[in-house]
Amino acid sequence: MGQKNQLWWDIPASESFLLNRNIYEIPENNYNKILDELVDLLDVKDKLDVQVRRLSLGERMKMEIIAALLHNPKVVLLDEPTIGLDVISQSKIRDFVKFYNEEYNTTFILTSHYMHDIQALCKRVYVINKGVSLYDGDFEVLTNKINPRRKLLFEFSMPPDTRVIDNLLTQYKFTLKNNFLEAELPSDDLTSLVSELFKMDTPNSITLEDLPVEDTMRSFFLEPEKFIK
Amino acid sequence: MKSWLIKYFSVVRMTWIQTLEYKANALVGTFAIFSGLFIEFLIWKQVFQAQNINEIRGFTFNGLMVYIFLCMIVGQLKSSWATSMEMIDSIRTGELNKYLIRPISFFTYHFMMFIGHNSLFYIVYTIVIILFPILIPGWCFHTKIQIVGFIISLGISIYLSYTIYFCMVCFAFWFGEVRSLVIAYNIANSILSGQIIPLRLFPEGAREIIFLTPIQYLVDFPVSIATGNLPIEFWIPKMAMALLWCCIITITGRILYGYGIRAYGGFGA
Repeated sequence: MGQKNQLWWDIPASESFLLNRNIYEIPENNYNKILDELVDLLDVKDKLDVQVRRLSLGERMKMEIIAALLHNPKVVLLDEPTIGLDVISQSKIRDFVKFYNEEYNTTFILTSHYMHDIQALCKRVYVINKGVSLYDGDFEVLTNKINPRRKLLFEFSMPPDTRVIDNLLTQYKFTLKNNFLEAELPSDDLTSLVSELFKMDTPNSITLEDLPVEDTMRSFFLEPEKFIK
Repeated sequence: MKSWLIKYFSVVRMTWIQTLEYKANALVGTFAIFSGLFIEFLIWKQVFQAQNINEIRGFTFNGLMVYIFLCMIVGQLKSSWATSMEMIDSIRTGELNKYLIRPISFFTYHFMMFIGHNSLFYIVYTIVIILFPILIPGWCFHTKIQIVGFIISLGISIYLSYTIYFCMVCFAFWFGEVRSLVIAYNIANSILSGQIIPLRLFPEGAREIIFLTPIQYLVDFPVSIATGNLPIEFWIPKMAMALLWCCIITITGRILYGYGIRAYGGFGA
């Protein structure tokens, strides 16, 4: 998105917005209202009259988004909107897209290899691999289907009873080291293991986390036929 | 119509602002033709002195210099090779997508960009042309009708030249990179259109071939009107012929673009 743009490199973005206003024949009142709102939301008021070539990548990306939204499109295609951006700009753009989608019912079609974008923004995902459609549906359903496992970290308050642990090891796969129990199990198994552990001890700390979505998707793309019939 | 004008006038305006962003470059570009004129002056001076002649095929030395200078101005004003390079890049890199998704015509948008890029030339050269009859009276624009004829034929030349470039640009849909084609045409055109050597000095056979093509209308035609080398009774038939070429090449361009866009793939853009 930041590479192939509709902003004119040597001219302030405000001039490109004006050109878009004339191209899309946006009435002046509407144009001023929409522009003011977008500029406030993306916090780029002081950058409007700066030549595009002098802006940072994040600022350029925001200007590109403004240029794309001035005419109130029903559908917006964003191609890698956060690529190469610092974490603050990434989250600002994500927050903006989410807000705009909810507020104006605008459909955003996001092309991205960046899984955090997908996780944060997409209600529905469409996965294409080597030109073949593999999946169309909810992202969470897909990740659960590929890798239904979650990670547990349980810190005992005192050394656990080895007999009980040995017994649990016959049912569940986990490791125990210095009072820390670590397990990667499907959600159902994890729930029953946690309830068993709570019977043994009240932990100092307990953490339950999803496995990194990048790892999940990597295993999916390596053998897609294994997960999608 | 009004919104169409506003839409495309704003493209001219944007390009004008962009051109002025690099003022020094724009100024050097504007006066670059004077270096070419100086070289031509030295060459032809030598030719006239060595041959010890006052005229070559009806051209006196001063008449020839005026003709060449006007040819250089017209050649500069009608040449849209820089815009053509941008258009080829758009097709090759997939940037054409941004024109396809907007309510604008790729052809008209770039034509207006070309006009915008040349705006500074139009202003400076208009002043030069106005000063011409005052500073060196008697060599061109002897009558007011010549000024009108020159402006009309120059307009036709600018449009005709752009449509020829556009046709070449369209080959990028199939071949990707066609900049060498544009460069080759540019070199051939500067010679064959009379920008370096007046068409009248060409061998008879070569001239006859050139007169069968639209090339004669690009430079020689407007300059011949300005210098009075073309009698007034030939203006209208020649202008009609030039307009016919404009129509033929515009239609050819549209057909090429229509087929080309079907072959186009905007990957990675």
